[in-house]
Amino acid sequence: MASDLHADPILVRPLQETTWRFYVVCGVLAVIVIVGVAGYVTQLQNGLAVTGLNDKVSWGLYISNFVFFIGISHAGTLISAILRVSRAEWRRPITRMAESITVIAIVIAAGFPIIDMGRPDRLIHVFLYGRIQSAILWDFVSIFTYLTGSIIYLSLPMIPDAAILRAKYRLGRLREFFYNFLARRWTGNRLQKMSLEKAIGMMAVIIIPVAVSVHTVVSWIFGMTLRVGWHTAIYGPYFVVGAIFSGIATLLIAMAVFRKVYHLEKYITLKHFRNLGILLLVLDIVLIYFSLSDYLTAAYGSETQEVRWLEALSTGPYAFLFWGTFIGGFIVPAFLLGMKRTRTIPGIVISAILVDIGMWIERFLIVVPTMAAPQVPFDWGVYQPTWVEWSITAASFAGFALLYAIFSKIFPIVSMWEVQEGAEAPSEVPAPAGQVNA
Amino acid sequence: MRSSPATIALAALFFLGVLVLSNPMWFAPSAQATHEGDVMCPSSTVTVHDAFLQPGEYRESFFDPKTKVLLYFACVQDANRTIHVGLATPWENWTDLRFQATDAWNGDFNVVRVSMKGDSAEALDGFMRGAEPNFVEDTSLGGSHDIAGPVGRLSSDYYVYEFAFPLRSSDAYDSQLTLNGSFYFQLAYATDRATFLESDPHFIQIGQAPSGARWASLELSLPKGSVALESAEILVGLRDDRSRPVAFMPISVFVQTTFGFLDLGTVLTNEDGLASVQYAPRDEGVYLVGAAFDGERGYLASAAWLSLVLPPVPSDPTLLPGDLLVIQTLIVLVVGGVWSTYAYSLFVVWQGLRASREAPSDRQEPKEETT
Repeated sequence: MASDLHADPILVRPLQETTWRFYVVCGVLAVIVIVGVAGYVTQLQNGLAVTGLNDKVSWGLYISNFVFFIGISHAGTLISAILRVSRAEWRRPITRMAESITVIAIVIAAGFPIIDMGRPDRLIHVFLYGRIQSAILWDFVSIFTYLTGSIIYLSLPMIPDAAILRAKYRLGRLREFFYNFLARRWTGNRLQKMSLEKAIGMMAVIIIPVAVSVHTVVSWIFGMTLRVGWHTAIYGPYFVVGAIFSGIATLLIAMAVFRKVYHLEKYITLKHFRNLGILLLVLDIVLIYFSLSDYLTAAYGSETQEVRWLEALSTGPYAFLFWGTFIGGFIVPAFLLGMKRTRTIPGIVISAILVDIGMWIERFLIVVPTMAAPQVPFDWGVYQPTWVEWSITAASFAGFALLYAIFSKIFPIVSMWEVQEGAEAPSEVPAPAGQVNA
Repeated sequence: MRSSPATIALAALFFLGVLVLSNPMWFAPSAQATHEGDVMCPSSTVTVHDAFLQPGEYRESFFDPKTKVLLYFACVQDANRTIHVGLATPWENWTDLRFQATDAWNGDFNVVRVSMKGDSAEALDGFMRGAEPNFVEDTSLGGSHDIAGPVGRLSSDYYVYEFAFPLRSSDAYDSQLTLNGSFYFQLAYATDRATFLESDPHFIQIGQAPSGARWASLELSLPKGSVALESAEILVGLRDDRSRPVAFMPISVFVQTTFGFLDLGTVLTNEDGLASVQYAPRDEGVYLVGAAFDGERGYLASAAWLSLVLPPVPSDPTLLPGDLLVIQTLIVLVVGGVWSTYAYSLFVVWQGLRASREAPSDRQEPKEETT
């Protein structure tokens, strides 16, 4: 395949040329990460007392971030795998962006339960004393399985591209190490191509239930406990839909950034934004429906604790966040995506940003108010995140962006061979003009 | 030199004298103060009369074991020199705060009498004579009602009141207190206006030293589904103003019976600020359970009350989950299946790469040099 594939200079240029702006952005992101590391060192030295966590609200920003990042990791699986399985040809320029979001987001997410533990050395206890009946052990297993599968699923389609880059470009030792590692024995013959497509096909099929199970199991960590607001059967699908929702929003933002910065306008077109925007709209409506169903069911029962929890959300200390999320994160994007006039690239990207902000706050509202709600007739818990938690949270977002930026400098952010293969396919949706260079 | 009995007696008297002079509170039984009974008058105190006792609002506290009434004080160095009072009581009807300048405990004293009237608090400003304890309102004696901002609220199973009165009242029937003086107070409660149960007298000093006392909040939890003659676990928790557990503090737990309060004992909080006491009520009914922290090691006192309701019919026991072997097997099969698919995918690719001899992958000379 390497021999008969060619690289479009537009796709290779980000690997060849790096502007000063890139270094400035990476520098700023690295500083934020360093501040977060300093915060974590402070926490390691002094314990969780330096956070706002306490014996009532033991899951705060850390677990909110964990759920959020696991959510956006669904971008890769659900966009790439489902569209690949359903043979949607328009997916080709965006699959790698989505798949890399998945791997980076899981890596970031997996760190948060360890940070939340306070004593990272006790992670070994999961192996030594873990009970298979525990939803937390299920979560550990499913996330590890998902991370492994996502790395394989990201790596396999990179083999032909690595072969092209290895054969035709000199991009430095570090990158050549990666290209050699992936494509040392790749020649692109027919048997190899068939094997690769078969393996990618199998991974695409298996990664979908794994991804669904991951967020379902994450939801069970909450749903399996007898806590007000959590103990509901709707949490599994609610979390999965929310995860795909935020995953698509993150992918849309990434598409817009790479399109602008790497000049990928001819690959990432309005069609991609509109297709994903419509998917975002559908999921938005489903999520609104799930939310209404969940809250109405809780309110209708009029159990004392449920009512107090709902009052805290709707009219109490969380009211601003609750209504802000519902209106700003769900309703406004629905209008922006629903109206043809605003279904433009800026409109869709603004919706995606609103959705991501809304979903992060929504994760916070899932975790904290329920933890603060008293299980026994004691007072409500108080939770005020400290600078340590905020710095680690900021570092996680900066770290995500930094890893993503670095990844885009090691591998083409658009899968070259898949785009070319799509363009050569006779009856599919035509690929952007001029993408195949001789 | 041999000691004569007279010398020993003289030494004992001297010792007692020193004890009395050095600690004027020694004779005030049951006085529970956080720091030697001073009422602080910091300039920054902000006391809001909303019937919610908040951290930082009061600087001194007393829990009276006899009447089970919790009292908070804070005085303000404003133009009116006001003393603010927060009061938590399990008693439904009248609760008295009686106070008097230290130099005349056996004489007349000022009384603030509070009760709930519907949803609002009723406060009476009165006068009592020690020898003839008949409560008379100041207004009926030609004086004035100068209790400021009385508010009240029913909080779970107890009542919270807040009010204020001036240290230097213009009313001749009020005790005239000074910023640097001291006063006695007494708590009392009654089911009607005539029969009051009184606490022992307490003595406090109004001072200006910084308090340093920290807020403590006691929480009480009673088990649901308890039945008579079965042991019920009463759980108490002590937290500070940041909602963190306060460990190794003594908590007194008591329950109201027909013959007064039955002391269930004093327990120490553990590292989580929790302690528990077992209690097996003899009959079904409603029991008022209380817990109190007297204030210690710089923490203000705190108390909590809750009603333990024992229904006549016991509830069904909760079913325990059965054998989880099926779930374990299912998990192992699913996870194993997924990992097998991963392995097989990699195996398929590896097989293809092994066939690379079909077309050797010699590196081609780069066509495009990059920097």
